[in-house]
Amino acid sequence: MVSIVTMNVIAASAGVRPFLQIAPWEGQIAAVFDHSILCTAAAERLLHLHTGSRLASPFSLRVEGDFATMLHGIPFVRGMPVRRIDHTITIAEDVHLRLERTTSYQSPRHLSEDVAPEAIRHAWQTLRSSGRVGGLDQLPDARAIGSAMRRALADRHAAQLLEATRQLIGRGPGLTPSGDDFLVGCLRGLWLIRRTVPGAGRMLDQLHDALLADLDARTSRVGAEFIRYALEGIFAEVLDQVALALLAPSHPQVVRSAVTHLLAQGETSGIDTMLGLLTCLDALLSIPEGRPRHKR
Amino acid sequence: MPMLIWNAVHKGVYHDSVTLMRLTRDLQVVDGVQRAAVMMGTPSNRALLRDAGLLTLDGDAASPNDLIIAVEADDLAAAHVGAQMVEAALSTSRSLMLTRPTTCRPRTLRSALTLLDGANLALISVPGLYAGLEALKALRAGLHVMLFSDHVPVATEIDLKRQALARGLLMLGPDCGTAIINGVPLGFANVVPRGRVGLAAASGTGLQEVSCMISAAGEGVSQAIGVGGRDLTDEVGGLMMARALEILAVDPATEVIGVLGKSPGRSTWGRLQSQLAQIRKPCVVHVPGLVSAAAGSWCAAATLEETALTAVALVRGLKPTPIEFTMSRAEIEAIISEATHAMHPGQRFVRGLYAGGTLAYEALGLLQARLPNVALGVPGGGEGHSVVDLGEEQFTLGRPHPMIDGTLRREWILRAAEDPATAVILLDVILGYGAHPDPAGDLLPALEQATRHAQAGGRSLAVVASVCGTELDPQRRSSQVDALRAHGVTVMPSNAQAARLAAGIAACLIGDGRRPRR
Repeated sequence: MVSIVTMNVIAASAGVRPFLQIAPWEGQIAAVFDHSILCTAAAERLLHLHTGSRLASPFSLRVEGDFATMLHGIPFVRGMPVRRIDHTITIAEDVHLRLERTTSYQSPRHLSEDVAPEAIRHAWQTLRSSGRVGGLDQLPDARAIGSAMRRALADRHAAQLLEATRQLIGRGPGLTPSGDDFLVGCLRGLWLIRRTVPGAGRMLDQLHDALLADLDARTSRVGAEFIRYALEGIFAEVLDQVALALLAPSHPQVVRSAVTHLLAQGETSGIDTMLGLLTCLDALLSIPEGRPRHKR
Repeated sequence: MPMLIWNAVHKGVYHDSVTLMRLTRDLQVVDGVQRAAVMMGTPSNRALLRDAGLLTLDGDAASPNDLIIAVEADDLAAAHVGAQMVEAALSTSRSLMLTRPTTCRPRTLRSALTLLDGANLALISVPGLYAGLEALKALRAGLHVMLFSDHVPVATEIDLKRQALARGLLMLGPDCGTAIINGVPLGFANVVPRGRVGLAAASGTGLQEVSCMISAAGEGVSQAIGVGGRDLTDEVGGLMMARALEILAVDPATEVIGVLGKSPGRSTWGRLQSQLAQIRKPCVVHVPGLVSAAAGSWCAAATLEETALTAVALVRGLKPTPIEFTMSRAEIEAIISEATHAMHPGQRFVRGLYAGGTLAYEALGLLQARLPNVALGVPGGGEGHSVVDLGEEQFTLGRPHPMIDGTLRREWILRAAEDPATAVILLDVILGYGAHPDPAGDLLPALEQATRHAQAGGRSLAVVASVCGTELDPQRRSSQVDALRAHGVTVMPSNAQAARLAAGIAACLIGDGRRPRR
């Protein structure tokens, strides 16, 4: 079969770096979406191929050009082979993705600084002015779950936090259940303030130890992958950008732009993730829900 | 009354969240379906469904990587309709293609030609960067090309069209969304009967509107040749429009020719007029800014509707008569009076929220001719009338086109309704292959909400729409019209009439500067 398209991979999430470096491997297409492809790589780990300006997941490869339109033109189907040999990933023998110019994106997991309440306020405003509702909010017990999570975080109560987290995992609509998205947002918040807010780092360690064991039994494979990476401090670039924008001082436009990019992820994934991040920060910084402290 | 709970489990299949949410929404509006949920079969979601009384034994056996579709229906018939909807939605979603044998799906032009001996046209829809190469391969293989892709460099377009002409082939596009060749609809086309009118167009939804109106008038289309939006620029020089006219001029099935263009370049327009003058068949031409007139051997039409009706008149040997409204003046006055009598003094502006680009521009032109301060692409709100083409790239980045999914337009409808200055919401509803299976139904929840919102604020909204489609389209035009009218939407026979009515309502509100005229 003759290759019909060759494209460059511009960036790779840190989570997939091992699959770009180890011995040749063969996987397959797991799912074809309107704007991206999900593949399995070595050791059955996931690879998310997409275009856009930012990496959309912690296991993303960001491809140059109009990859999304190509997906409509080439009949990829699940099960087609995906191979990495040398510096090329070949999909279904038709598309060659070249890795020579790929830069590796590393989540700023060591960064932990003061968060600006003003920036959080701008983020809430951007979220609310979008007028969109998250998947978690559509569930009958959404308020109770959110409150339990918020209370557990605010009280730094390990047992309650674990219970609230278990309530979230695998709950709600979407390929990545909305509860998983919310939890990933919370974890991003915890990583962001783990060194500056007492108790945050300890809660992260507790969640890490408790959740990894039975993650695959509790949620979908994609949801589990997001949480697994999040527990290690590896996030999507699009979420990291929001976290960085919340560090003081940040121009409101920077916050709005970062939040808008995150909200555009999936039908509700971006919203649920944003809600998780802001709920976590509000709780741990003792900001009244959705109404951060104003400077007087 | 006993309810039926039905679960379907799709094992190990991934669908993106947009597909899943859309399916949930579609299921919830099926007649006889009381509740519906589409979720991954995680323990937490199974518990949710169990608590809601929506889980069956099948659903309970699902794993976290399985998709559960849960429906509570009045009876078996409603559940059956729901099940069919699920199958249709998920089988058109790309991720379920895994169930089809991959060996039968050609991945190259060469293998496709092996499978389909005698094929003579290739429809190409790959990224613009690569589309030129694929189109060239097809032309070299002796195939006509319909190039759906956009973002093809203009130099590539010129080269491809020249190569096609040298081989006696058609090169439709790039950015060609609609064509009907030898009765076969391609891209976003409607089901129209074959007939005596041949169309050549540099406009997708324009071609749809005209072919549907020809069908509604009882005639049919011999060929509908889309040439791509840039063909009439001076850079491309109308290379394929000229070829399309040559074909239609000698086509025995074509008795009248309709030409639709987007702002042609000066020299190209001159050559086009010269060619039209040579054709020995009646021709009717619509390009923006052209007023109704006879120009020697061909005549100009001011709107898409007029183009269709003029073509129909010419094919029947009748004298074309431009019309403003199909209804009588008194009926129009009554509609305007009814629409405006409960409006608040602050309501003044028309908000055109369009899925079709050509239809949006047509509405813009008609509004600008009748109202002051009309702008294109201005979001709902602010001072002035506005028309927004929601199919433009800036709105569709990462989202489906509004002809396929009304989510974006629903958001804009609600936004327009929240603006106290909005008086009229003007819409197009486009049917046909490739379009949403129920575009009216997709918009109605937002229109209902908009109406309620306005009423809560002591206002009354007028919603004016046109439906571009035919009775033979998969969505059936009359069903769509009925559904809209049942929800208080004023449905006009054409986009031009809808825009004129919207302008009439707004003009009436401006009439006394404050209150609607009685």
